[in-house]
This record gives sequence, C-alpha cells and structure tokens, in this order.
Amino acid sequence: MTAAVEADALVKTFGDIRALDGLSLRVEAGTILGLLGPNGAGKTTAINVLTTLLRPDSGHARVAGHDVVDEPALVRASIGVTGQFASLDAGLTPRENLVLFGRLMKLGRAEARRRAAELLERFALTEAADQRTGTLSGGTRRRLDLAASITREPAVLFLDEPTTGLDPRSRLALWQAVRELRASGITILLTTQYLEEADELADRVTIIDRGKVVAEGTAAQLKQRVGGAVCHITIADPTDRQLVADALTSLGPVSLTSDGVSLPASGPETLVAVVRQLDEARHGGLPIAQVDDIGLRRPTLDDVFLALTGHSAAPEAGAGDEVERLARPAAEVAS
Amino acid sequence: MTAAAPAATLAGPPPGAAVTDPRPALATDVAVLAGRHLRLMSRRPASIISAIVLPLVFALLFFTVFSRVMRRSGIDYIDYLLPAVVIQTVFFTGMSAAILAAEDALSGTLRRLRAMSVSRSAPALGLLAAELVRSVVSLGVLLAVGAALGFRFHGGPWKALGFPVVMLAFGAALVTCHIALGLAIRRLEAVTTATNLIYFPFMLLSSAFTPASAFPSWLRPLVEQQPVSRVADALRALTAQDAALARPLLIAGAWLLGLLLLGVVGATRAIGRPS
Repeated sequence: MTAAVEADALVKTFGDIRALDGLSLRVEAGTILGLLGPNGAGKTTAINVLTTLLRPDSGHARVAGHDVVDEPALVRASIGVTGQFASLDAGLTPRENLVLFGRLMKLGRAEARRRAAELLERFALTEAADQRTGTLSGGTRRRLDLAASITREPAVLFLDEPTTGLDPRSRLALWQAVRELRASGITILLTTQYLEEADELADRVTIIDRGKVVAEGTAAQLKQRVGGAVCHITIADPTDRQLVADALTSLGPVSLTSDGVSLPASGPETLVAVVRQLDEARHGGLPIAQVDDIGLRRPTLDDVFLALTGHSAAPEAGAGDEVERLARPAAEVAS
Repeated sequence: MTAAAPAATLAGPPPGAAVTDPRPALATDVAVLAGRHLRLMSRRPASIISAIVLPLVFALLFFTVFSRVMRRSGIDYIDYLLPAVVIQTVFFTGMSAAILAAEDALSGTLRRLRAMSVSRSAPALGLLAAELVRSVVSLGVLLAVGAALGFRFHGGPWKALGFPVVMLAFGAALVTCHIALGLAIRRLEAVTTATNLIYFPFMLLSSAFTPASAFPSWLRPLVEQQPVSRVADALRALTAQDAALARPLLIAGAWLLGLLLLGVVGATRAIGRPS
C-alpha cells in the first residue's frame, strides 16, 4: 500500500512546551487514521503542520506525495481541512458558502453552482440550502463544513475533532458522511478524543500523548491491550480507594482513578468476585466505609491511557491545551 | 511503536488525487473574496448604517448647525463641508475594515483559507477592494445630498474627476492601515477602541470641519500639517474654481504614500502571524 500521509519525527516547540516530540505517523491511501489523544496531546499541532499552517522545527512530512515544508502549495491543492472551528460564513446561506468555496478552488461560476447543488444533495442539506447558515443547528453546520472541504475532491481530508460538541444523533449522521467519503476513495486523518469515534470510523488508530506516539494499531488490537471490559468501583473517599485497591490486588492489576478503582474484567463473574472479595475484607476487619457503585463498562480513552502510559488522560488535559493555545501566536508559520 | 516507514519509501500522489493547479490566481481570489465581503455587508445593518445613514446624518447635522455661522465669515459651508464628511466616511470605512479583518481572524476563516490554494494576500486585498466599493457608494450618496444642499464642483470636469480619485487613494491608505490593525489586535472591543483613538484626534484636530484659523495659535501648525488636513486641502483644491492644485496634491500624495506603506508593512507582518 502507499502512504497518503507520512510524518517522520516531527518536532514543534512553543517556548518550553514540546507540542510535537518526534511524532511519526502514516496513513495508507484510501483509509481512515484516527489520531487519538487527550487535549494538549499535540493533535491540533500535528494537523497544523500537516496542513502547512505551521512549520515544524525538525522532521519531515509528506502529504499526497508532497513535502509540507518544500511544496506547501502542492499540499494545499491536494487537501481538505475542517474541524471544530466552524469557519463558514454565518451571514451566507449554505449554497452561497459552497459556491464561494468552489470559486476559491478555481471552479468556474457555473461549475461552482453545479457542484454546490450536488454537495447539498449528497449531504442532505437541500432543505437548509437557502437559509442563513448562522440559523442552522451545530450538526447541520458541521455537515456543511464537511461538504465545503470536499468541494474539489481532495486526496487527503483532515478532520480535526469533527464531532466535538455534537449531540448523539448529529454525531451518527456525521459518522455516516465520513464513511461515505472514505468509500469514495478519500484518505482521511481524523483527530478525536473519543475512543468510540475512532472505533467506529478508523481503520487504524494512532494514540499520541505529549507529542509522541504511545500506541498504534487497529482499534481492536488496542482494546485487547487494555483487556476488553473494565470493572469500575466508584468510591468517594480517597483513603477508602486505597484500602479497596489493596483488598482487590489478587483479582488483577488494580489502578486508582479520579473517582474510584478500576481493574480489567473478564465478564460478569468479575463483578461477583469483586463483591465477594470486598465482603471477605470487611469480615476480616477492614474498615471500608462506603462503596458508591460497582459496574462493568467498556474501556474508555482514559483506560487505554492508564494501560499504555500509566497515567490518566484527564488531569493534564486543560493545562496542556491552554499552553498550546497561548503559545501559538509566537510561532512561525510555513509560507 | 512508531508508525512511519523510512523516508525512502515515500509515495507519490495516491490514485484519484485531485489534479489542481497549485498556483493561486490572485485576481480571481481577490474578486471572489471582495464579493463575499460585499454580500455580507449588504446583509449587515451596522454596515449599511455606517456606509449610508451615518454620513448623511453628519452631513445634514453639520450643515444645519454651522452653515449660518460660516456664511457670516464668508464661507459657503456646503462646499467646505462636503470634503470633510467624505473624509469622515473614509474613517468609517476604515473602522469597518478593521472589525471585519479581526472577525475573519477570530472565526478561523483566515486559517482555513491559508490551508487552501488561495493567495496569501488575497483575504486582505479582497477586503480592501470591498471597502473601496463601499466608499464609492458612500460618496455617491454624499454627492447626491450635497448637490441638493448646493454643493458644486467649481473647477470643471477634470478636477471633479480628481475628487473621487483622491478619496479612493485616501481610502486605500487608511483601510490598509486599519486591516493591519484588525489583524494585529484580533479582539473586537480592543479594535473598536483603537480605531476610535485614531479617528477622534485626527478628525477633530484637523481643518476638515473648521478652518485652521479657528484653533488656538499654538495648535495651528499641528492642525495644518497633519494628514487629514492635507487630504482636505487636496479635496478642496479640486472643488474650487481657481485654486493652486499641484502643491496640495503633492503634499497629500506624499502623506498617503507613507500611510499606505505603513499599512502594507503592518498588514504583511500581521498576516504572517499564525491564527
């Protein structure tokens, strides 16, 4: 297979922060890669480098066969970009927005209008076509955004957290639209914070943390590494958490989370074992005051992170994101 | 753990890749983006008010308040006033440009355009073109109401043609500076404050609305020399019957060239900054 996106040891620093710390990744032509990581992991910086918006300090990247630093114009001509920033004009109608994109992508007037009509049809936007974009729902606007980014079929499409902030129904509709784009042969690099989203859409998943790749594989392979389901015991009191964790060590590798204790589960029998173990510990005189909840759940990004990096995805998230955002204006841009 | 293959196996464009001319076409981009701004302005009450209603209100207000006083000192005030409200309109146009530029930077529009095959300078030039079209509309409105109040070009058709040319040159210089300001500040309230801090001193401490002789003598040199007064001098020379033309035009031209240069350098630097 050939690679449509290939990044090799990308480094990008903002002051003291290494937003990208030797990031390498590869997206095979015609597939979807899910770039998964918490806020501040470097996802947006990676997208900015690959879409020629930022020049890396070191490392190389090729998109659709063109070097992002040496041939930015060729890269820009081969890509579509869309994301959490909905940058369509609220004062224009969806049809006008799409015609505008067509014109900027050098389609003739008539061709741009024809293409806009086609895209409105394809993305189920005909009903909203002639209302002001600003009055449409978040999900509809995101679909329009997606339509605009493929006005001139790109070889590679970058989707930066395409469903962040969407309600579940809009999210399902957007997923369907993304799947159809892949079916039409477009290579897609998708960033997300949701394991579920990567699981639904991506052929392969690359997990990054602090600007580095921490794991790579299919979603199934990654979940296997976490060990399928997780048994989570919710405990309000932190000292109780430690007591419970100690009491359960015989059942498997127990980890402390922000609101309780987790351990890998093989099925409902793990629940029974946990309850029995806690009961025995109580009878043995262990002063466990309050267990709020015990349940089985599917692994989340946080579990994957715990399993792969030994630290939780959540705590550093806010801080890292803030630093990346604040540091950006000082950085240099690829021309 | 790393996913990338060595650089030697890098692939060419995948099959089905869009064959697109990577060279952006500046003229098309500017025209398309100017059209975008004009369409958005035409749907924005604030734009219509500041382009058409405010200039009219100021023209009528100043005329009503000052024309009798000025006539007593031998000045036909509508002839004196029109260049002033034209200059004021150009300032309003500049404010609009600063706000629209900042909005495009804040909304992610500029970021998105930068990842497309669109010329680097096209967003700024498109906005400039749109604002110049807007100021032509304002000028038309002002000339119509001015004519109704008695304004005339006394110097013949050639000088009359020079009038919009000087106005547009002033517009190009001022709007470029304001676009630079909007792109550099990128916070809407701060942009509004900054444009007011430029507008009020330059407009009020000038010979636009009242002759320099009306200012205290220590302030007079400043009032006479500053660019807004110099542009007013040039515009008035073009409306008068037999005023010397070369000197005011040259001085105004030099100021405008300097302002334009300032704006171009500022805008270029601001565009180079990542959003």
